[in-house]
Amino acid sequence: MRVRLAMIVILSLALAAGFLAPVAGGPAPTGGIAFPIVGDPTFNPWHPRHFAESLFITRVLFNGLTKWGKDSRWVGDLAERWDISADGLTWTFYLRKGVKWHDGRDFTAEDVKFTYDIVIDPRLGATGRAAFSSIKEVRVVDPNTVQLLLSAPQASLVAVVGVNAGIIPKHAFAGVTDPWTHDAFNKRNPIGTGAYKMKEYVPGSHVTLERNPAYFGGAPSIDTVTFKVLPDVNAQMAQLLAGDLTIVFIDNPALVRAVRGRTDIEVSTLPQNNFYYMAPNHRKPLFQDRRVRQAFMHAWNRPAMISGFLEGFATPASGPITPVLKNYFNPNVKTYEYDRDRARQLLAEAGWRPGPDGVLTKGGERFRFTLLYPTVQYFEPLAALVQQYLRAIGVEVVLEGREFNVFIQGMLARRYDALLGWWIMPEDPDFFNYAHSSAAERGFNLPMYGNREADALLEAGRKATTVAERERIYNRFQELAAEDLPYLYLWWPNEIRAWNRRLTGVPGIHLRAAFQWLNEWRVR
Amino acid sequence: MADPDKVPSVARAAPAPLPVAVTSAHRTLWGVAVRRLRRNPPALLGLAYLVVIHLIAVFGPWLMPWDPFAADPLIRLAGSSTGHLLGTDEIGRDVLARLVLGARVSLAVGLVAMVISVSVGVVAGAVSGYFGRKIDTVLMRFTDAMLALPTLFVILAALAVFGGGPTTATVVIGLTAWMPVARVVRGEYLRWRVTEFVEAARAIGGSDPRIMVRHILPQVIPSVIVAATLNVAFAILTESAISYLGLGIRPPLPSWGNMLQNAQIYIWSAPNLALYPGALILMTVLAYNFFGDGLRDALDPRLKL
Amino acid sequence: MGWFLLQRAVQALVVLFVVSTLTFLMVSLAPGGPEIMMTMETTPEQQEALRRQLGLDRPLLVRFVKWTASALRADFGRSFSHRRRVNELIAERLPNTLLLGGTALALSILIGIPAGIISATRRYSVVDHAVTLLSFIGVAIPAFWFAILLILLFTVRLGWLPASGLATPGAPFSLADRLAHLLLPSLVLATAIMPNLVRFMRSALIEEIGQDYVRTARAKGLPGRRVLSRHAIRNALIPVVTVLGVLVPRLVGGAVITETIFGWPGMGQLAVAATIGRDFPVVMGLTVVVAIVVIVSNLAVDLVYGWLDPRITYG
Repeated sequence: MRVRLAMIVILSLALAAGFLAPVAGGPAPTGGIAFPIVGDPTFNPWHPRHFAESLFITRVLFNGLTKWGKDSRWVGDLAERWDISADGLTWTFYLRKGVKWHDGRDFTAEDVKFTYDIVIDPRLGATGRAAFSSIKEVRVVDPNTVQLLLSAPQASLVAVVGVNAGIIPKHAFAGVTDPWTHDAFNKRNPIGTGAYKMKEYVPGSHVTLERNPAYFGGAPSIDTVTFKVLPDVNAQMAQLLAGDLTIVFIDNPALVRAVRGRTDIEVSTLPQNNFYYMAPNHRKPLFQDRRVRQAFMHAWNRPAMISGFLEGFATPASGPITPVLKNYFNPNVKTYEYDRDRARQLLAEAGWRPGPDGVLTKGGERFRFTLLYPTVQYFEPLAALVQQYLRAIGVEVVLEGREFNVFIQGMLARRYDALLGWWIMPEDPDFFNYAHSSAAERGFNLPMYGNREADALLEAGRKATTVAERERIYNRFQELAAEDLPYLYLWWPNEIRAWNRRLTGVPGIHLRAAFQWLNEWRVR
Repeated sequence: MADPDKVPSVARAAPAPLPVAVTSAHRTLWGVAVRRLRRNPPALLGLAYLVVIHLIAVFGPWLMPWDPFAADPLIRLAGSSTGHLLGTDEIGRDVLARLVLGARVSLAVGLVAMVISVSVGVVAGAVSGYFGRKIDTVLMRFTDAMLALPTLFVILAALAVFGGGPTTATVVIGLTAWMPVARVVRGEYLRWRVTEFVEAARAIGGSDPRIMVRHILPQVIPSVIVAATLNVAFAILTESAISYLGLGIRPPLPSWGNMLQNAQIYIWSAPNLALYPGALILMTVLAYNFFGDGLRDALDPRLKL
Repeated sequence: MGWFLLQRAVQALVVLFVVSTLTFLMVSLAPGGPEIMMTMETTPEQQEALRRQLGLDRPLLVRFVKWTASALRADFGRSFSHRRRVNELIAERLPNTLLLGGTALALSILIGIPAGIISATRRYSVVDHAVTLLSFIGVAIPAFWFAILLILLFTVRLGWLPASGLATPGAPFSLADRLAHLLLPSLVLATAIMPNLVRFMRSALIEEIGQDYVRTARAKGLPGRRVLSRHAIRNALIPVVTVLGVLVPRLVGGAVITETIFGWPGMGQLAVAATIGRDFPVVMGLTVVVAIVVIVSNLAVDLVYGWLDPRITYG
């Protein structure tokens, strides 16, 4: 009898210790780390000006319903688990209990409703809301359960609610009519549920976050995280070399040479769900013949370009769905080798013959088009190369490089013959918004592609309820996409990051998602 | 004798007006100038460089065996080799060929924009400083306004209205650089018009235009030359800074400025991509400066032969 | 004098009005707009929602009148990007820019003017050529390159100086820390503006030295130095002061590239972000501030002319 009692006591103590440990502070906090951002951030993940420089910070300050897990699948964040109704139109999220906001108040389903009500309000224009267009209502079932009601089934919802979809507190916006001008929250004192909370913000200079010992995912080990405003990428690399920055996101492979040979800096690379492309405007007669599009795919030497100015950090893309999506990726689709003769042959079959100056003509018309691209990243040399490759097969390309702002304007107005761009997509094969005919004028279907079979497949992919069914549908879609070429695929770039070897514990997933696991990073 | 220390600081004897033509040939203005230049090595070097570089700019691209546009990503960022004397750039194009073709654009933009800015600036400054009063007020307040306008938006507006292209770019750059010239020239004219020698010139019946041009302008030329050479550098460098906006020299056309700009990210792997165009810009600006200095000396009426 | 200043004040208002109108026009003409978002995942709906929120669907004239009305009350509205009051944004950044610009200006004057004087008095000597060469290197080397080179040397290789920011984040206030952060950016900025002062000083002083009165004074045995400092330099300062009057507003407008590379939170950074993002209220606010500085600067120059050479009048 006494032994039993003793065992119960010991067991209870052990359980209590295990339960209390994270709250007690976890391993001893160590120092701080620094990461560069390119401009002044906004601390509200739904703000219309929430761009790349803000998302690293908001991913640390806030949590979404789900997040991308370390083992490459979607796991619960604020939601422990979820149910989908049989008709696919009702998603029920069962929220974690005992989560507190940074100011000590309790997190409840009301906060989720408050957040998503803002998202779906068309007058507010919250950023990224296009991904949530199928949500028509948010319903609070009880303080720990919330339902999202959809107008059409969307199997990818689990991914969508985990990407840049931080939940913001209802009580912090009490009495506020316009969430976008609520500076106290957006610009000074954001209140989230995340592993770190706001410590200091010096506009134009830096943002410092400090650890949140009460974080539900486990208290962080690193004391502070500083986001330094450094618009120039070379300056960022210099600071990494000097030790003033701990970790850097490298978006131009040319910068990797800066850290070559440094034993104290680790460069890691991993594939991401991102592809670079040329989007021909399918409404222009020039590109409507499939053979023309296929000819282009044969005309450029993608391996050379990749080993050339991408320093090998990419893979030639066979389609819009990348190998990162594992079971959804179809490796058996039509591929295009660098073959100029084949390109010329295809064009000839389509009726294009070389004119007196070498430029292809058909019925008196020259094969000439304008290529729109933004003057960011490495698009300038890329466009120049594309122009050269196409000139070699008799196609005349007029380059139109524009400031990013103006490029977006041209993109929205569909004022282009073809454009160069990239899509970074959540880890889900749902390509609806990017290629369905309904998204041609006002969505992300930039090539203005409209193919009935593709449309049907994309719709079915959203409705499908089992993984096996989706695999089947998307495999067929990839076959079609490789054959019919809505986009002209260039490559799948790898993500490159460099960090000081003192930093460990960074999960091997893409950096934006890795920031959502900041509580597990360690500094030696 | 008046104590020079008590002479008011601005008193000065009348500088001699420009020499009148005399019988012997080498006593003419130009004859004197040429002789003086010949004895000025830096000026001659500068002149020689300018002549050579302009000849290369005009004829070079036709004579070059290498194509400035042929790209090959597999040989990018290569050092000097027999096929590519100065190596290749970030997508494998020949650097030397691009420098030669780029010379056309950069030299033209530098020269024309400078000429525009100096002409407008000198005229505005001279008229403003000489006549004073209302004309000065209006012109100088206009200059103030132009100085306050945000340059980038001027360029963007020009892009929207006139379209991109090197001509628009050159004109726009010229029109954003005349204000300092005008201010400096006006300052000089304000100071010179109250001197005794101008009063003397008026007394002997000199008209305003004549005084402005034949008497005061030569005194102002040195400052104008300084402003002009500084503007050449400004023009060449500004042209590259605006190409990312879609105005000016659009890729794949090279200019020294845009080669310098594109080389930024390759500072870690190929720093000489920036060195070559940078060195050429520097030498061109120095050449303009030394030649300009020499020219000013050559035309200086006060130096003895 | 009072009348003169009053006249200039009235003229200033006219200039401000003209500048505001022209800038408003240009900013509205420029392609791209603040309702465009800086991300590929933009939709026309978002664009339209933003247009309405930012009041861009109203006609140009209405917007301009509204802006002018509030500008007269010194209220420049809210930034489109940051949604904060423009006055606040400018008030935050201006001191930092003044600090940087002021230091660069001081360095340039302290080093540049003596350099110009030495260059002029020892014309065509080795010193003169060296100063000339260095001046033109300063003008021809783009700020970007010089800045990175300095960072690579002093921060990466030597570890002596920090590479960005006003001060070390999180550390308590320390004058040494602040100065260390100020050194490199002000050096880069000074290198860009010093050559102007050197060149004009040299050229103008050479002119003065060639004047008859200088020759006369020397011939009479007066020490060169005295003639120089009392008379020649004073006269030669006229173009130098003029150039300073043009440089000061440029420095207040912010040294864009220097601030970008050194992460210096000043007006330049604000300006470039506002230009790229077509943030009209900020651009207008900055333009008005710069315009005021231009007007005051050039007025100061005109007054200094009068002090340098009492015979100069504007009548």
